[in-house]
Amino acid sequence: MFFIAYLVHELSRRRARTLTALACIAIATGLVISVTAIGDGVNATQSKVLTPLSAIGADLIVTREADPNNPHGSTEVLQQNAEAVKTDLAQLGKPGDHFTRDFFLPGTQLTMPTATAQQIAGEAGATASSAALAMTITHQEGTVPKIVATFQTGGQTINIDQAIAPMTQAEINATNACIAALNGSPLAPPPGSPPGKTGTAPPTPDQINTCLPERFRRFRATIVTPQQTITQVLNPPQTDIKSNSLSVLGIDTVNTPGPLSVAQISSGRFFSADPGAAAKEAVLSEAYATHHQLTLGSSVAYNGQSFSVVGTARSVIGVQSADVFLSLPALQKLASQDGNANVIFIRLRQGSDLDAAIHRIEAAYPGFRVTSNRDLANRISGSVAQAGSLAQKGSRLLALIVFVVTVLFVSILSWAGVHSRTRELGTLRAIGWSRLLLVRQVLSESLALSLLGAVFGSALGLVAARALQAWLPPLTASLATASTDSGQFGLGNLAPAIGSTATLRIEVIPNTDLVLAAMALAIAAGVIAGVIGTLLTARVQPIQAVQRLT
Amino acid sequence: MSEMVYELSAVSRTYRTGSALIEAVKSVDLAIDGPGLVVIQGRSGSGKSTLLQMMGGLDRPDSGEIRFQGNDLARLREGKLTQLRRLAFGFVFQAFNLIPTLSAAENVEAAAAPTGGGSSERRRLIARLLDEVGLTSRARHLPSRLSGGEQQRVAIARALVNNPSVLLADEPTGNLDSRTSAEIISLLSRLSAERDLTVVVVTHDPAVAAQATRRLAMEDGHLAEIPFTSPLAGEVGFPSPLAGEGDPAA
Repeated sequence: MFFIAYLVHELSRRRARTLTALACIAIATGLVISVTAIGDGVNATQSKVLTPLSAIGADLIVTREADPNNPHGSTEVLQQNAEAVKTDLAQLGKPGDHFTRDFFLPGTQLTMPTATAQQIAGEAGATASSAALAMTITHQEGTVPKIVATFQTGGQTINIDQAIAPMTQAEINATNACIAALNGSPLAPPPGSPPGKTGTAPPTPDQINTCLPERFRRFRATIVTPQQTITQVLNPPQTDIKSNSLSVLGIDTVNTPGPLSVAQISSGRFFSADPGAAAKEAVLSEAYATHHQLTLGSSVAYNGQSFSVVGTARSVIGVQSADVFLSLPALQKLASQDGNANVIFIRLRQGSDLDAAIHRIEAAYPGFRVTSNRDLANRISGSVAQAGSLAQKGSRLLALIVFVVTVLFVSILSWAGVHSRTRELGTLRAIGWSRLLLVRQVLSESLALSLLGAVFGSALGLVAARALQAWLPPLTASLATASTDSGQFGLGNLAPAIGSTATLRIEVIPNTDLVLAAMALAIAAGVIAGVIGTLLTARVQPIQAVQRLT
Repeated sequence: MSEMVYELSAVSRTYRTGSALIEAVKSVDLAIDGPGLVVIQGRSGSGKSTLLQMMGGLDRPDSGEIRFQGNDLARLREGKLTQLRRLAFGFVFQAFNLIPTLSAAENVEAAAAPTGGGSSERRRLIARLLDEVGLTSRARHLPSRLSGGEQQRVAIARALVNNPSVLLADEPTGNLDSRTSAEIISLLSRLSAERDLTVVVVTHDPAVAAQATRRLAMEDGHLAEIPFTSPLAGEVGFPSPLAGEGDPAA
């Protein structure tokens, strides 16, 4: 008991020295914990990002992509798909009618029968697999416009200038005979007749019109006008048709792995276990739900079919994501893609040769693209990718430096402490303390100090880690787009690149192992310092009890 | 005939100070055969403290023998010497040498603790010793709150806690005023008589010498007996150790 009391008094009654050493050890322990936790946090964040498929329990993703350089790819199919998005106003209804239409496009990912998906999974040696259908929905909504065109015609002037042949004598005679029959004077007397024959009046206009030859009474001509095209610019009709796109994934709600795991659900729930109920449900991405102010219980409708929102989900960078998740059968039916899928998620047997599996698939199914974590990791950039390894190495190095500095500092304190107590320790030797007993006492003091420092330091480290968690800026990660790949897994430009960038908070949460390791380091620092102190202690001779005075 | 407490023969000790060799103790012979207050007088630097330290196993002679309880302290291994310091010798220092972080009682316990034994029994012994030196009421006080005389009494209690056969005091009154010095010397004298204890005191204080049962004088490394017929050392051929003495440190 005496030795413990002596130890306690030494620590409590030499307060300045004790507090200095305690603060040094505690700060060092806290630094080791918080700095290492940052490094581990960044590293964990990086690992999460660089092994995105692991987050959904998959090893490989297989897609069938259109590649103009690949004879097995079919760009025509893509063109046909693109042409499917046509808006024929005549087909939408009568003018003034409200209409909605949804076009479903598979993007640049060609579809395949789900049977093929199963064969590919079998070829790869999968323990589990699921097929999904990634589509882009182009949604149109508005009112069928009225189209009225008014054309103005006429106003053309046609001039006919034609010489008319004079009357023949026969015509004159016939005309005169006609007039005479009407008791009129002839138009022109016959040659040799006396002028001014009395008894007859000049012919009236009516008599003349009646008796003139037919060609003088009516002009008949056929006029052919030149052909011409009248072009008139029409003002476009007023319309309110709105068009927008969203990505949708039809997923296997029963089998895993898939693009949406239960772990990604941030609110609500995953699809119902019953496929019938799941076919009427939808899970939305957090961003899409927030942007469109959709909440749990809301509904979304496509081509007249309504789906109830049962959950929202976080996206995992690198893993194919979508605005809306539906069950695979529901999307197949909506998009007229019965029995088709365009993404296969494969989990291999543990310890399988990844490269061999990729090779088998690519050899057996030309035109199919196999993506692994390694491919994704190579395409991920951003602060996460840059910070990860640096932080991990840096934090370990910093922790080592802190440890070494602490050992040095505490050792100096220990040495100085023993040196200043030389006469005291010499006195103890003089009154019968053995060298071993003295060393044990001094070492115990260092050990107790380091234990206390480790405890306080751990608390300090945990508090600091919490503070750092709030203070540290988030990291970003981006999935690079390869030149031969117009989008993530070929979803292409038609689909929003959801999941291709991410902002990630660093989880600065020291685990038990780290705290215990830091405490062990603190104790080790105390022991080293204690040993250094005891090296001096062990050299203290009894004579030193009086040496300073003689 | 009772066994000798101490038998010193041809004990010498030389120090090196820089390039100079100082012969502090020169071939000293001494025999102490029983309890009593033995006082060694001498000027500062005469070698009396060095002699005392060698007698207490704090230092070893370069040559000669220091026989104590059948052991030659000059050649005794460290462990055995430590044991003798713990059990057979009690030390009282000029500067008291108390542990500043321990109370009066704990300082006394510091000497008893290495011997083991029951703590309650030890506490009773310490309480009795503190009572014996008149410090019962100051048992829980730290040395910094005790006067010089009180501190020296704590040191004496500490020296006695293991019931030693010899108490070695190096200038025990050197840092005390005359009144307190007298109290301390009186206490040492009383303890010597009551406990049948051999007390060896190194001092230059004539008041201490006056209480002695045997007086020795140290001069230039040599030791000589001072007969009681003449309290001053001049009669044994040495100059008086007290004449012209001004430096309390020896």
